[in-house]
Amino acid sequence: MDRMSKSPYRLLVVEDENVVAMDLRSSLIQLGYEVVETVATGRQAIECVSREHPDLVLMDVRLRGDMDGIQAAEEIGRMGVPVVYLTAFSDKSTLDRAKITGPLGYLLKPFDERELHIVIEMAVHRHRAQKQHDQLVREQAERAALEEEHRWAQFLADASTKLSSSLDLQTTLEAIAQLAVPMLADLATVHARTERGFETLAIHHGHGKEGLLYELSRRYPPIPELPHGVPLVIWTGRPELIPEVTEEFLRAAAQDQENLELLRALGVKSQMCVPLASRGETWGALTLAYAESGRRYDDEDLARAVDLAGRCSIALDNARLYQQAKEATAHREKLVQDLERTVRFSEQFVGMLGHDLRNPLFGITAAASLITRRADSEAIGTPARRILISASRMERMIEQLLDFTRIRLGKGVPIERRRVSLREICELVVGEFEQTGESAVHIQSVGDVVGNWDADRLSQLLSNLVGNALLHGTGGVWISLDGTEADYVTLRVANPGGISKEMLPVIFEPFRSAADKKQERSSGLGLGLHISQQIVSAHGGSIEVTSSESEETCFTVRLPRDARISDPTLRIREEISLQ
Amino acid sequence: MNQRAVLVVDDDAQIRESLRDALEDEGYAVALAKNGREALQILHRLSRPCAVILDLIMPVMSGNEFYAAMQADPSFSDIPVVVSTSDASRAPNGVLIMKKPMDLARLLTTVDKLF
Repeated sequence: MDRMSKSPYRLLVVEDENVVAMDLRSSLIQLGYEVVETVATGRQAIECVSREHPDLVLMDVRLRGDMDGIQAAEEIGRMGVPVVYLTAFSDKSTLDRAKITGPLGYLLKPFDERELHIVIEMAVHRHRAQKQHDQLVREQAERAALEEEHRWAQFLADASTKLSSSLDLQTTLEAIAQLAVPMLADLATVHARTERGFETLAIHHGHGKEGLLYELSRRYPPIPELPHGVPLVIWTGRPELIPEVTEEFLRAAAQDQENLELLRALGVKSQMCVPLASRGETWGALTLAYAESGRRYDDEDLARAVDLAGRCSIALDNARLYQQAKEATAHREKLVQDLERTVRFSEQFVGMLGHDLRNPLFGITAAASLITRRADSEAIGTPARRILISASRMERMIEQLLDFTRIRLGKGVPIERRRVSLREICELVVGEFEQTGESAVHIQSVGDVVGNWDADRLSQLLSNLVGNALLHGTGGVWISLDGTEADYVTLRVANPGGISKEMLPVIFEPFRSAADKKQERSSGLGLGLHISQQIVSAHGGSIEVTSSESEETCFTVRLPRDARISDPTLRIREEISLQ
Repeated sequence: MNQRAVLVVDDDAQIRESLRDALEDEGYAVALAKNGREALQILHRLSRPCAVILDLIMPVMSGNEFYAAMQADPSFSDIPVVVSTSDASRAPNGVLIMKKPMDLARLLTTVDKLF
């Protein structure tokens, strides 16, 4: 025989009748097989198989001892070694019992060598074919599993990309529902727990039944009493798998007959529901279901759904944070806009009010002037003059408010330049103060103090500085003009008495001096110095104040003689303040 | 010589009447109008020589409209005008401007110089 050239099959003979065993053994050797052992009991057979791993076991059905051949064959079959029964018994019950163990052959005694040979060859051959087939199936399954694993990894990678592509909450929720189909479901829904109950946030159906799904979620949102599905998953934070959605399940889930009809129409066969969490708290659930595809979910699918939900949760956290940040920004922008509008309105209002107040104020002034002109006694003239003094104070305040409003609206102080002498302006202003009974203002001047300036504005500036010095100083005001420089004229207004260290840095800010509680004699709005500063900078000049608390306060104004000249120190200071 | 006449145009009655009293005290014949249209009507029967003290912002016909109408009529275009306003930027070109509220004495001096 040609197969003898290869290594012979190794056989184990299990036969408790010694003569038969010896006979069989010599027949087998005759046929060219190797007999690894001849044993008499089932236990010996099992022990030998585990030690020798024969290619085939020839098993007598009836054996001595506590284990017959069929029982031994069962055990040996589990060890992956094929069995052929040799027996004289052929009754139905023995055959039935033997069949269960899946023998590869059944040889009835007595048999001849030829029969023995054919049965052995076929049995070993079939066993090997079976083994090869099993191996193939196993390999295919492994390959399929590997491919599936790869597809899943690819899917998760795609999912992560899609989920992170948008920071919009609703877009992300819809992306989640769409992602699951068709890889993991025929239809998917995203639910959230809100104050109003369980709300459907997103829906996707891979087979065009989205309308039905919408109707179901609109008319029959999950009710908290439901002992499964969305409410349970959100409540417990644990995933739920329903491998088989049966008619009974649908009946239990339906809230009424119509709901049941809709559920039947949807035709879900298998479903799972996984929690969506944010910072450890379950706020929603992703429900996945198979219907049209007829597929069924298992534990592995559930693990994947949980994996997907985890990624979704991260994406949703990001989307939520972004949404919150966006809302906060929008809110802040609206507040700023409202505030700007309010500020602008109030500034415009002040401006309008200023204009409108001038008319009645003129009415008061005109009438009071008329009285002073007609008055033939001090008894009438004096109170009329008091009216005029108050009215002119009020007039100055209105002027300041209007200037301030113009400055705040970014229009600056308008300047009309013509050639004027600063000395003449000083004398005019001081003259006015002397008329009102104030005195002791000294003017000192060196060099040429003429320039292209707005005379009215410089009068206003001087009036503010001198008025300020008279009000806060402890006696006398010294004005000095220095026109010895080619491009600049320097004006100094000094008075004995200091300004507090706290006031000094904010002295040019609006409403400061009026707000200073220590100032008892303050009679204005606290805008004088602020406007003075604006007048100086509109002329391209600079203003500074120095003060030693107990000794002297001095305002120094440097005015370029011409609009073309601007103070370089001013520009540097502006740059510093910009930084 | 005719009595010098002044037409006061202002929508504020207190201002109108105070100015009238002050001007009458100075010996002027004073006419009052509360808007430009009234002023135009009065202008026709005003004795000469005369001058106008004109407010700008008024209902019915503004000071600017009145001034334009005056300038368009050769019989009025030579009448001197003092604009009294709280907003000097609105005043037409080429007129004397007195900013409200103003000093009554200065106004009277200014008016006196017009004749």
